[in-house]
Amino acid sequence: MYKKIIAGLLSLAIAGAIVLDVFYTFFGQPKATTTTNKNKTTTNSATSSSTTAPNQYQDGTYTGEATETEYGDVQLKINVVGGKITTIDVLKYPNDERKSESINAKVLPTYKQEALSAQSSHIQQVSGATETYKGFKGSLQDALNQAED
Amino acid sequence: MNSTLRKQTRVLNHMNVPFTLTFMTPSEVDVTAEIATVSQQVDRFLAQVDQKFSSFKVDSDVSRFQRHELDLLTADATFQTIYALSEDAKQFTQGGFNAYYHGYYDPTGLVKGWAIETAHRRFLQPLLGHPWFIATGINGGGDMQLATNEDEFDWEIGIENPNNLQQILATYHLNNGAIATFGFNKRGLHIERPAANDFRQLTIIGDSLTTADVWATAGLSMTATDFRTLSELHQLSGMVVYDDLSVRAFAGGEWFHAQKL
Repeated sequence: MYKKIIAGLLSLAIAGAIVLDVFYTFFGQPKATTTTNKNKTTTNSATSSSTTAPNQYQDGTYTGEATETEYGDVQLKINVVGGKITTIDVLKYPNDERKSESINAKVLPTYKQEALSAQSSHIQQVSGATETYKGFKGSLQDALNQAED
Repeated sequence: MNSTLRKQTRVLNHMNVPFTLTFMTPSEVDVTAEIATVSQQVDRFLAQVDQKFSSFKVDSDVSRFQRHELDLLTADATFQTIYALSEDAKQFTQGGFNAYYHGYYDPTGLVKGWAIETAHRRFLQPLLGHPWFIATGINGGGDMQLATNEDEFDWEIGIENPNNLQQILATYHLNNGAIATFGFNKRGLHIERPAANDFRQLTIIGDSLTTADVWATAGLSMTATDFRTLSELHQLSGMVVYDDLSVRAFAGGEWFHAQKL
C-alpha cells in the first residue's frame, strides 16, 4: 500500500517533470527542474480553488524545483486545467531531525494569580495574546525588560 | 539560583509587534558588541520577512501572488517554505488553520511564529556555543522561542490573565522550546469566526513556535470537542483559560482537571 503510494507519487512527479521538460524545451525558461529520487513520504492534498494560472502555463502538471529548507526539502506541484490552477500539491521530504510537538510533553503550569513586581520576579517572559508595539509601553513584558537590563 | 546571571534585552518593532530579544549571560562578561550584531541581524531579517509576506504591502510576494504575478513554482525557497508550511498546518489542524480562509492566500497567521523561530535558530542559537551565553530567546508579542545551553538555567514564563493584563495566572518553566498564546483580549477578536467554544485564551507549549502558534490560533476557532480530540492525537501541551476564567492544563495530550482560580 505504502509502496504503491510512493510509486504513484513518483510517477506523478516524473510525469510532471516530463511535462516540464517539454515545457522548458519549448519556452526555454532556465529554472527548470527534474525530480530527485528521494523517498517522498507525504503529499499534502490539493487546495486552491479558482486561482488563475500565470499566463505562461498551458494545461498540464508542473513540478517546481525541490527546494532545500530548514524544515526539510519541499517541492510544489501544480495542475493547470483550462488555464486555471486546479490543484497545488506539496510534496515534502520532512527533515528527520525535526522533532514532534510532544517532546516537551510533560510540561505543566503552576497556577498563581498575582500581580508581578518586576524587581522581585523570577519571570523573564510573558505569554499572552498578541501585543502591539503601540501598546507595549507599560505592559508586563516591558516592565520585566526594564527590570534587570 | 540564577543570581550570578545578567539579563539584557533589546526590543525591535516590526509588523506592529514588539519583539523582545533576551540574552542571559554571566554577570561579569561584556557582550554588548555581540548583542548589537545579532540584534541588527534579527532586525534586518524581520524587515525582510515583513517586506516579503505583508499583505498590506502592494509589492510583497504575498500581494503579488494574490494578483497572480508571482509564480509559485519559481518563487524563492522562503516563499515556497511558507506555502508548504501553511498547507501542512491546514492538514494537521484539519482545516482549523487555513491560509485561504479569506478566499485568497494570506499566511499572516503563520509567518510571525515562523519568523521568530527562524530568527532565533539562525542568529541567537549560535551564540549558545559560546560559554558567555547561557540562554537566549525571542518573544514577539507574547509568542516565543527560547533556548539554553545548560540545564541549570530555567526560563520562567508567566501566562497573562486575559482579564487583567498586569497579572499572570500561571507560570511555566522551560529550558528549550516555544510558547504561543492566542486569545481574546488586547486586540479584540483575532479571528473572524464566531467563537465555537468557551476558550478565552489558549496557550500551547512545543518545540517549534511555528507549530505551537498554528495550534494556538486554530484551537481557538474549533469546538472544544474537536480541539480535545486533536490535542490527544498530536499530544499537545498547554493550557486553556475559559470565559469564566477557570483554567485547565493539558500535557502530552492528557487533560487535567479544570480549576477555578
